[in-house]
Amino acid sequence: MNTKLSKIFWGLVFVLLVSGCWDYTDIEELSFPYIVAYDTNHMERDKNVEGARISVTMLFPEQATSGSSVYLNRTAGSTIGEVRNKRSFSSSKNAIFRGAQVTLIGEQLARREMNVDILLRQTAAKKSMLIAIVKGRGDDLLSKGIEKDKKLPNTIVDLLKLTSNETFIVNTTLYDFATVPATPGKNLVAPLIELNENKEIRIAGTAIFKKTRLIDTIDQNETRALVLLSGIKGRAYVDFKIYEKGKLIDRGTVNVSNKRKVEVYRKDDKYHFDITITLDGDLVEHFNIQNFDKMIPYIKKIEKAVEEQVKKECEDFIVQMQKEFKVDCIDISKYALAKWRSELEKEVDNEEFITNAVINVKVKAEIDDIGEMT
Amino acid sequence: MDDRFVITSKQLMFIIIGSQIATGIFSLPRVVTVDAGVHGWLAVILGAIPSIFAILLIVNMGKKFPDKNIVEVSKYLFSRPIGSIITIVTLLYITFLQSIVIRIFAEITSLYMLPKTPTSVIIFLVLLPVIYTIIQGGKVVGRINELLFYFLLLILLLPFAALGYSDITNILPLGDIDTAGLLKGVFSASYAYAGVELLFVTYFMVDNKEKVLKYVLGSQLIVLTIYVSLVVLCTLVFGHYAMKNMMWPLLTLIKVIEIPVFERLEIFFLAFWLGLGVRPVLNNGLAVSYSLSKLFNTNFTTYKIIVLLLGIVLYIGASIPNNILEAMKWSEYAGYANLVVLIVYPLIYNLMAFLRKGGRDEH
Repeated sequence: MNTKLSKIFWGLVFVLLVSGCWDYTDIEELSFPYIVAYDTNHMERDKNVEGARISVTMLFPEQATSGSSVYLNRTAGSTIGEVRNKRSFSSSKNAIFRGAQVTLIGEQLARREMNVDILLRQTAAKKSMLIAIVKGRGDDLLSKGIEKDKKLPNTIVDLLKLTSNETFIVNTTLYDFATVPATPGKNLVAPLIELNENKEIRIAGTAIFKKTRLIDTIDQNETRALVLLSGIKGRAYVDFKIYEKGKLIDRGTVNVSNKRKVEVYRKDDKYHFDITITLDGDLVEHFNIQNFDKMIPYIKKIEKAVEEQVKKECEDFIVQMQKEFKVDCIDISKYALAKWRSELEKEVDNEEFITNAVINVKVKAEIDDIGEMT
Repeated sequence: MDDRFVITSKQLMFIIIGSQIATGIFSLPRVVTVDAGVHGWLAVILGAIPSIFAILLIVNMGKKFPDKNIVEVSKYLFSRPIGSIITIVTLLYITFLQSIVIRIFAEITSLYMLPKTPTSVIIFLVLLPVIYTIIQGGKVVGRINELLFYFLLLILLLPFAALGYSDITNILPLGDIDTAGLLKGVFSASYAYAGVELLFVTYFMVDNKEKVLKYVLGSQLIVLTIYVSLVVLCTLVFGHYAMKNMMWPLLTLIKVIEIPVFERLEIFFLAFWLGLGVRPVLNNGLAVSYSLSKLFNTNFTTYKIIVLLLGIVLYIGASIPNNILEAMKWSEYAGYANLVVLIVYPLIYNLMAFLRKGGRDEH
């Protein structure tokens, strides 16, 4: 009898104390933002919000009550925490950020320096959350974009996640925000997205940061050079032109994946970086069709044309980086740190380090497959 | 000796591993790299030296008194009152240390999994199965440790899914060592091996003592391998600069990994860790209860009461720190004290054994 009573007692204790009792929440009481956009305060929209410095726009997927596929919630405040507090006055549901796939940061806010401490501190936000910079304002992109594309959330996620299979783009996650600011020699780069004139979302290029503050943006072509120089893995179509005696004899496209190797050494008080980019892939098209016998030497010509073109793009970008951006946005300083860490860790972030560096580029193209035609 | 407290050398190995690998593993990569920098992995290797030294001393001392237990040895070497005082002080230290382990464990569970559940409830729920298992005796504790060890190996494979984010430059250069920083790192790393002092009690529970040294040194090799590989992994992925700002780099590492369906992989990891993280409390709780019952020469029924009382003390101790930062500070102090227990105690016991010529020949 005592054993039975004891079992009943412990059973009751368990029933009363199971932790779920405290952490139980009905799913109907929760809302899950899918994309969150952060912007500076808007002079017109936030004029009634005292001390507003930041505005947060959350895009929620389909809600049974709203009747539409998505809905937006925009709130302003002095900090993200205050925004969350103010949001609760207009929406009773508790926003759960564990499902958030993308964080968008408006260009103006990014230039002012975006503080993502709240995202890094809270345990619910996943470090693999994608981050992109919006040309213009994030809230405008969401509100105008949704008018044209009802599946806007998926479009944005797919664009940021899958485009690297088709072209060279940068990919930034919350993980980068957790590591880059504290790491000497590293600076953030993030995809730059915009709404085009047809209100369609597209990747416009790349945002260049000095640590976590946006300093400049580059277009799609410059992004290719940045990706190749940075060694960010991707696959893309690269066009080429072959000239003979100054005359264009062929043009076409190769589809290649990329690799990077960096060697660093010191000479004459300067840091020398030798970057070797290897492009490996297939010939997709060309117009000067050759006989089978001539194709083997002709492939070498195509490879050389690709190499020369990519080398020129990369060298132009290096000049731009050293003269305009004055930050290492191609992630090469880490190789110098790996050799002379104690000497360099305090000076590697000085702009003289990257502007005085001698950076050489070598490109190797290897075409494996030419398809069914010669 | 009561059959319920007899363990095998192999089980002893799992008990030692279970006592060392606990929630401290989550913060270890930060703790060792904050001073040692890219050479955090080296600090972890060198940090094992004090524990290996302690093992050699404890086994050497134990060999001289194969048929006694630690309480009897203490009383024999230091006289009855002083031996009893030493035993009680040591047991108080172990109890204090385990209270902190439970509290940190509960805080992590609260932060990542059960944010609204009061910490006191989590502590209570964690202690319930621990106390129940200790009541069953050393044999059951040994078996549980063996079983959980295999779970540990499986679950520790998960962080390696983040290898795709690794960057070899984060751990270079291998030379260019900052000696002062490395030494600080070694000092910090040596706390990670706290738990080996349990051998003071468990050595005397083993049936075949010939193999004890082999298995216990084997346990250190396993612990060392796990620690080094995790520190290297976290350094490769985050770099030591970024890790300075992370409370628990190993958990953050798991949040970097993206696997479809598992939106929050760290919860999956921690769900397993709920069973694994309490092993030090389990093992040390056994050591404390067993030693107290030997000190007061009680029967098994009284042993059970001692375990229940220990549970209450652990609950109160774990509830004292005001927050996680305070608990971690206490844990740091416990780490300093651990060096005394790890090095000074075995030295004194060996010295006394030598002075009193308490060798095997005389017993």
